[in-house]
Amino acid sequence: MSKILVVEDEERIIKVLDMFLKKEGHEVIIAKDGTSAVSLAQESMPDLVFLDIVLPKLNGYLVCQALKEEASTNHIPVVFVSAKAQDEDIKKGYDVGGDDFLVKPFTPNQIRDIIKKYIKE
Amino acid sequence: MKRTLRAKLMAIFILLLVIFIINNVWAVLNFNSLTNSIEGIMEDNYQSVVSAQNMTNSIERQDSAQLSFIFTQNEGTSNSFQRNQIEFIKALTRAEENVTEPGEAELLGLINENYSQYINLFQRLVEVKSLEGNIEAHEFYYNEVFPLFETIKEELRDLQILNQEAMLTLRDRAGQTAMTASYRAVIIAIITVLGGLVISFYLINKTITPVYGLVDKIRKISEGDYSQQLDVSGNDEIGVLAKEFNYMTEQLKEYEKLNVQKLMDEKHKADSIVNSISDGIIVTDKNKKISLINRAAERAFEIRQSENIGKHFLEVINNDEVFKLIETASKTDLDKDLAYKEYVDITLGKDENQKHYRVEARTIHGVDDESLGEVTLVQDITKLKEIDQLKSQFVSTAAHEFRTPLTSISMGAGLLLEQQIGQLNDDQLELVSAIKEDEERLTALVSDLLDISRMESGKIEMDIEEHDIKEIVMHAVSPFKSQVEKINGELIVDIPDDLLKVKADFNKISWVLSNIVGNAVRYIPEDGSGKIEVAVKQSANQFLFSIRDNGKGIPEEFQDRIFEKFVQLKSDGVAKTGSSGLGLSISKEIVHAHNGRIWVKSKVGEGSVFYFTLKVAR
Repeated sequence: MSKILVVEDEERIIKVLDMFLKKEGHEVIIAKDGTSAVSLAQESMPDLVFLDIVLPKLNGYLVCQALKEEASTNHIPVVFVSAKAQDEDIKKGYDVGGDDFLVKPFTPNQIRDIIKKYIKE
Repeated sequence: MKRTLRAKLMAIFILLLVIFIINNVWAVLNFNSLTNSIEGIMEDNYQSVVSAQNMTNSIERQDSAQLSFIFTQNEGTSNSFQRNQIEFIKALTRAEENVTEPGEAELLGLINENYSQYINLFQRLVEVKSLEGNIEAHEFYYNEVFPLFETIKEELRDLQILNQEAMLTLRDRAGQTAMTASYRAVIIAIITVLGGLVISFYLINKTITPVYGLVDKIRKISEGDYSQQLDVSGNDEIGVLAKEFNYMTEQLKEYEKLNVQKLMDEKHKADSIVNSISDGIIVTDKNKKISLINRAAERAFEIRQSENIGKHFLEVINNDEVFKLIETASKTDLDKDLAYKEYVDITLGKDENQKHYRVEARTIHGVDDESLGEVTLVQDITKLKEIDQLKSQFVSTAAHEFRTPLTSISMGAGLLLEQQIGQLNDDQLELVSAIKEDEERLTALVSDLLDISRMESGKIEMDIEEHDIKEIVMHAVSPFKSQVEKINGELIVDIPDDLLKVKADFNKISWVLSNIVGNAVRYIPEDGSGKIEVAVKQSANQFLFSIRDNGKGIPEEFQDRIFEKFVQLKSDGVAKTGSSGLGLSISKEIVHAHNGRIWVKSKVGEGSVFYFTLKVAR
């Protein structure tokens, strides 16, 4: 049973991801803006973060930066999930310490592959 | 018109003629009068000499007659005496009519007196002889007659000598007179000739001098100085000519003014037109020196035409790219028919004043086809760029906005299809599959749209390096192998082993190849006869890629348009799934970004061959 933090402001995406991840047997924590994402991550120490880039209050890059700079959260893998997926967006994602980049729209299998890659049972 | 120039010349000529005639007449008259006077005087003297001789002859014969009378009794002697007396008187009378010399009259008077006495003495001799006899007569003769005879003879000789001397004197004087006359004639001739020459020279000079002035001024006019005017003094032909000349220069001046005016007007017109054009125009001559900069170009490059005319292009606009363009244009001037279409885009100014320009260059041809230089067009494409950016932004924003709802569709449909949430019946399954398929198509479309808008705005950078062709081709083609095998088709790759390396972006070219091969896979027959052949040939400096299939082929009317956006071949009115209609259009952008060309040859029912070229790495 792993803990996954989903940082997303789009209700419908939250709903399908929440449903899917729970079906897959994971614990899901939802953050709907950047600042709460940072505090929730520090609070609950998830095993993986799915992080949107365009977010209220604090954007995904800054959230990732904050997590990677903080020693306690530094080890948590961060996977960007974004519709903004041009070369420069992806590059920036990796620059701020992101571990992977998933372009929207994604499929259940893509999510499964990512989880398999970052969460070892 | 008064023909006074002719009159003047005539006058000069007549003057000289008159001088000549006067000289001649004067000489003739002189000569005549001289001859006349000499002849007249000589004649008188000559007559006097002849008379004196006649008188001498007569008196000698009378003397002989007297002697014979003394010694003979001849009656004839008296006759002879009287005859000669008549002769003597005649000669004497003539001499007396011809008195010319001083003392001649007195001498003649003496002769006359003595001769009367001689005649009387003869009467006395006749009386002596008859009265006193021969001896007395003889004595009388010797004592009285003979001395008188001698005296008269002496006097006659004096008369003769007097006249002869007079003649000599006269001759000398005549000679002197003639000499004097000659001298005078010569002097007068010299004076008159000199005078005539001086006057003629003066008159000719006066007549000719204005002609020299005319020549001088005509030369100046031919050099373009139309302000020349001649002095219109006198109303001879020269005066008339001068007047006409002045009129002519007036006319020329007017004409020139009119011409200059016309040219100025034309130039103004051209300048106004050129300046009113919103595109920048820079004209360079054959040596690449600036000869025109219009307002728009002045603004674009922040230069002034007035300060830069005649300067070399690079001195004024230090932009190698633009200069290269101009140089290329001037070299392409031979192929006039192939309109030279290259251009470069440049950016000028800083920050918010930044402007974008598209620069083109063309050769200017003169009437006889030789190159006069180049015209460089500088088109402000800032607005277009802005619009293009807006468009790209819009497309990119729109695409992003699509992706978010597509995510829930993709996830939702995906979960449903997995049937973990609940079992679906066949109809439901089919419907959800359709949703999933269209979601995938939309996703691909969004992705392609993003790619092409970025490609078009030049945002995608080519990562061009040297690569092995076979590697690229295999990387692109191998994923299709299983697909082709599934329908029992053939996928042949024919690449020689000794190919040089290609200069290309590995991923992009690989993408192009997979796009084309992917299309071919979709269209080849599925009955086992499907065949796709990928080949690469190397020529001098480029590779030719060909992808041949035996699909349906592309109708001719589509062949040109197939590389345009959203042009899709529909089989049986329905587009094949899984393609956005942007693939070939993106392929074209990629190949163009590699300075290559892409095209298609196809025949409906036989198949298609897609070609594209890439540069050989050197």
